[in-house]
Amino acid sequence: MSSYIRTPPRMPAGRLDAVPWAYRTRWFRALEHEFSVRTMDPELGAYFDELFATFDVVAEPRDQGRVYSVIERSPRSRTRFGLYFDRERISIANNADLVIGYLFWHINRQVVETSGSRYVLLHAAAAERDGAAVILPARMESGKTTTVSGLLRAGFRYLTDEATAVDPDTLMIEPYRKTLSIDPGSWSVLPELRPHVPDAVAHYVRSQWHSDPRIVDPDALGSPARARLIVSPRYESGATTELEPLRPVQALLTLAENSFNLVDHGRRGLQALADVVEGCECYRLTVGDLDDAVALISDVFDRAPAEVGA
Amino acid sequence: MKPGRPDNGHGPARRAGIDPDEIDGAFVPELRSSIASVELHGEAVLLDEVTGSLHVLNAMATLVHTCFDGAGTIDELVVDLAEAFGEDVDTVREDVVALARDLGRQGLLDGVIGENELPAEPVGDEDGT
Repeated sequence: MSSYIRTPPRMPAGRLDAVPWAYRTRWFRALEHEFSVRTMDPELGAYFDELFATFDVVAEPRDQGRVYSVIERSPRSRTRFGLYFDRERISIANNADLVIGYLFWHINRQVVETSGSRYVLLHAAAAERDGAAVILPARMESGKTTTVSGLLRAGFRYLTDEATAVDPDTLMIEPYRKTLSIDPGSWSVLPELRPHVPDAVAHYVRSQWHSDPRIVDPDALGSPARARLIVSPRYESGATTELEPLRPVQALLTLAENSFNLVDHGRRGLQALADVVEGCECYRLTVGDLDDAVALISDVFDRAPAEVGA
Repeated sequence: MKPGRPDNGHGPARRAGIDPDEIDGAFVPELRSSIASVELHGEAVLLDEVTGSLHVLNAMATLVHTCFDGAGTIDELVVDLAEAFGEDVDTVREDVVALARDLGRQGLLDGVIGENELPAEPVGDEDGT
């Protein structure tokens, strides 16, 4: 590690390439965002290579792929870590965990930015079984990740815990299979998803689990699917876990209010979401207990007709 | 990351038109061209493609708003609606005017200044004053 590497807001051309990089990951494709990561710490790079393998791995990017660079300076530096996206600085910090958090955040942001013209993107988790999907739209901290993690135990396969991509032409849900980002509050109810983090990189990822769904089942990564069920979860400590049916217009409003880019798609996007709702049974779910929530979702999923309204 | 509406950061829009409370039977209601509408089982969701705002209409409003196409005054519309609903014309007029004023306040009608909008700047006189 070197303390002489400056980290200006925009790195001059060629300067980043001159850094003594120890590791460059493969190219990954997350919806329309193609990227790789290079690091000065080889073990961190190897960790990322494994972590991002829930995305599609591509030999070469379709267009010019984007590169994240994680700079690490001497422990004596006041701002030890720097994170760049191509030549633009995203973050500098003395805390490794913080910089890595910014990396995951920026990948999410780029996915939304690059994929938004092609998909209507919902702030929703999603899972599928036998080619049919359940969408879990909700605000932050509502329990989307915990609920979709619980569904993996019931034989569902993972599509996303962050951004559900709806193709407005086909109404198919396209997977955004980032690792599950599990907060400490859910660690006790999802012990089987505890990730294996090599000791050498443990200091980079302390505040959150980044879990590969294949820990639960090697076949846990889902395929594109059409929605059969919409369930909007809300975790409430101590509450009775229960489902409340939503009228179609309420479900549509829930999807629309949890969309990143509906206004960009306009009436075509609104119609697409309405068509998704028409094909689904729709509920609001109060979650007091995860196992009860998973059982309720599984039950309505199994009872929902293959094509609602058919 | 948070989903949400676009914010152009330029403050309230200015719009030429009347105040919603001025809407009466002589008004010709028409949804703005930026309003997308989709109906599900008798209820509608409206999306303002400019602001990203969302609006839900109940069954009655859903039915009536489809008549807000700029083709006739409220007085003309209520005659047909009263016949369709089997209701008294005056009662229907009262309801339709109330609906139009409500949609106007929400910035959904052409020629009406929404409650989050400002009147257009007055144009100066020809002598420059």
